Amino acid sequence: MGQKMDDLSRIPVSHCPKVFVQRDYSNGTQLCFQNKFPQDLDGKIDAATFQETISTLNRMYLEAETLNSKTYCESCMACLTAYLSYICFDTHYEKMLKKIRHYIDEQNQNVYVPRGLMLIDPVERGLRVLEICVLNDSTGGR
Amino acid sequence: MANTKVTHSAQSDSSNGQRSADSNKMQRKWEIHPGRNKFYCNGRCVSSPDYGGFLCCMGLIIVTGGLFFAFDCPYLAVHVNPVIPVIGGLLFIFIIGCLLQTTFIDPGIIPRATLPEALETDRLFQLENQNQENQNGSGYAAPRFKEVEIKGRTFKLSYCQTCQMYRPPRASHCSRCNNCVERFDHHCPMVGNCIGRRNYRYFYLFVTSTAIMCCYVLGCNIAVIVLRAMDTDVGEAFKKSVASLIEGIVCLGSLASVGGLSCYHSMLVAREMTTNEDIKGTYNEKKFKNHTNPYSQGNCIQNCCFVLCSPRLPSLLDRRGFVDPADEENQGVQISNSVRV
Ligand SMILES: [Zn+2]
Ligand SMILES: [Zn+2]
Repeated sequence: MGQKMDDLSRIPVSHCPKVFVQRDYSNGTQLCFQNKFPQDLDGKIDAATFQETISTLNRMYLEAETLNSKTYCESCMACLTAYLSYICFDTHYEKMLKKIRHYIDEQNQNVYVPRGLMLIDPVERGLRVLEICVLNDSTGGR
Repeated sequence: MANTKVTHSAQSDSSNGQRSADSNKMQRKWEIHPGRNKFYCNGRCVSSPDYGGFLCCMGLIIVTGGLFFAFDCPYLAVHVNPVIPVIGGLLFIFIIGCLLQTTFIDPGIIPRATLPEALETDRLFQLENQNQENQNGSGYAAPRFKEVEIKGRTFKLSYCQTCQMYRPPRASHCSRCNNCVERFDHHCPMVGNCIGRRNYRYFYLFVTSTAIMCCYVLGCNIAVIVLRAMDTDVGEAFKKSVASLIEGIVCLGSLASVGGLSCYHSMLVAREMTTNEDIKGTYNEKKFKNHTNPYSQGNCIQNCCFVLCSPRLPSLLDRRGFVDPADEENQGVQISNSVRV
C-alpha cells in the first residue's frame, strides 16, 4: 500500500488541465469547500460520488476547527506553559490535517485515479482551493 | 510532492545559477518565499523585515524585570512575603513566551496563487467581463472584486494584484511584509510582525499581561519605598531605592501606552472585530445599512473563548518543504500549455 501511494505522488501533475473547487464563505471564514458539481468534470465522475467526497472533507475540516472540550483543554494547557508546549507537541488541527491527507490519498487510490482524476491536498494550495487534475488529457498530449 | 510554487520571474533567473552551483543541495521553500519576511532557524521562525522594535521591547522587559528581581524582590521576600517574587517570575515568563510567539510565528500569511490557479482566475474574470464589455470601455483598470454573502451580509472580496487571488474575507495585504495575511489586524512594528489570525491571541495576551505586570511592579516599588521610609526617614528611603525609582518611571511610561491598548483590544475581542475592520468602520451603523458582524459567535463571553481558546491553526506556508527542481524546469512549458487551454 505504501509503495502504491508513492507511485501516486510521482504522477506528473504540472502539465495537465485543472479544475478548481473554490471555498464557500457563506458561513464565515470557517474552512468549507463549495459543494457544487463543476461542469468540467461532467462525464468523468458522477456528481453523487464527488459531492460525497467534498462533504466528507468539509466535515473533517469542521471537526478540526470547532472549539470543543478537547481543543479547549489543549489551548489552556498551552497557555499554562507560556505556549512553550507547542514546540514539542502536534496540535489537534495538525493531527486532523494528517488524517485528511490520508483520506485524500485513499480516495485518489480507490476512486479518482482509476477515473483519470486526481485530488490535490488543499494544504498544498494554502487551503484556498481544492485542485483536481485531469490526468487523461496529459498522457495523451505527451 | 508535485508543488508548483512558481509565479515570479526573478526566481527563475537566480535558479539557473544556483542549479549549477549546488545541484546536490536541495533548496527549502522559505528561501524562495516571494514576500519580504525574514526567516530564522532554517525556516522554523518567521518575522517581518524589521526587528528593531522587537529588540527594543525585549530589552526594556529584561532590564526592568532584572532590576525588579535583583533589588525589590529580595527585600519584599524577607519583609513581606516570599510569594511576591514567585508571582512576578511566572508573569515574567508568560510575557516572554507570548512575545516570542507573537514575533516568531507565521501570523497567517496566505501563500500566493500558483500559476494555473492565477490563470484560471483570469480566465473566469475575462469570461464574466465579456458580457459587460459594452458598458465600460475605458474602465479597464477598475479594481476587480467578487461578491460573497456571509450569513446574509454581502461582502466584497477584492483582488490582490501581488498575490494574484481574491483575498479571503477579513484578509488584507500588509504592504510592509508584502503578503496577504488572514484576519489581518495590523502590522505591529513594536513586536516586529504582522498581527493576524494565528498570532492575535498571543499579541492580546502579551499586551494585557504586560499591563498587569506594570501595575504589579509599580505596586511593589511603592511598597518598598513606603516600608523603607517607615524604617528610616523618607530621604534615606529614596536614596536606598534608586532601582525602584527607575523601574517605577519605566512602568508608568509603559502603562500609559500598553494600558490603553489593552483596553481597546479587550473591547475588540469581546466583539470579535479586528483593528483593521474598526478603522474601516465595517460594523459602523452610520456607514453601512447592514452592519451586523457575521463573525461574532453570539455574546462577548463566547467571543473571548473563541479568540483565546480556539484550536491553533496550522501555518499555510510550507516553509520547510523542499523545492521540487522539476517544477522550475517545467515552468516554460506550463505557461504555453495553460494559455492554450
Ligand atoms: Zn496580497
Ligand atoms: Zn506586516
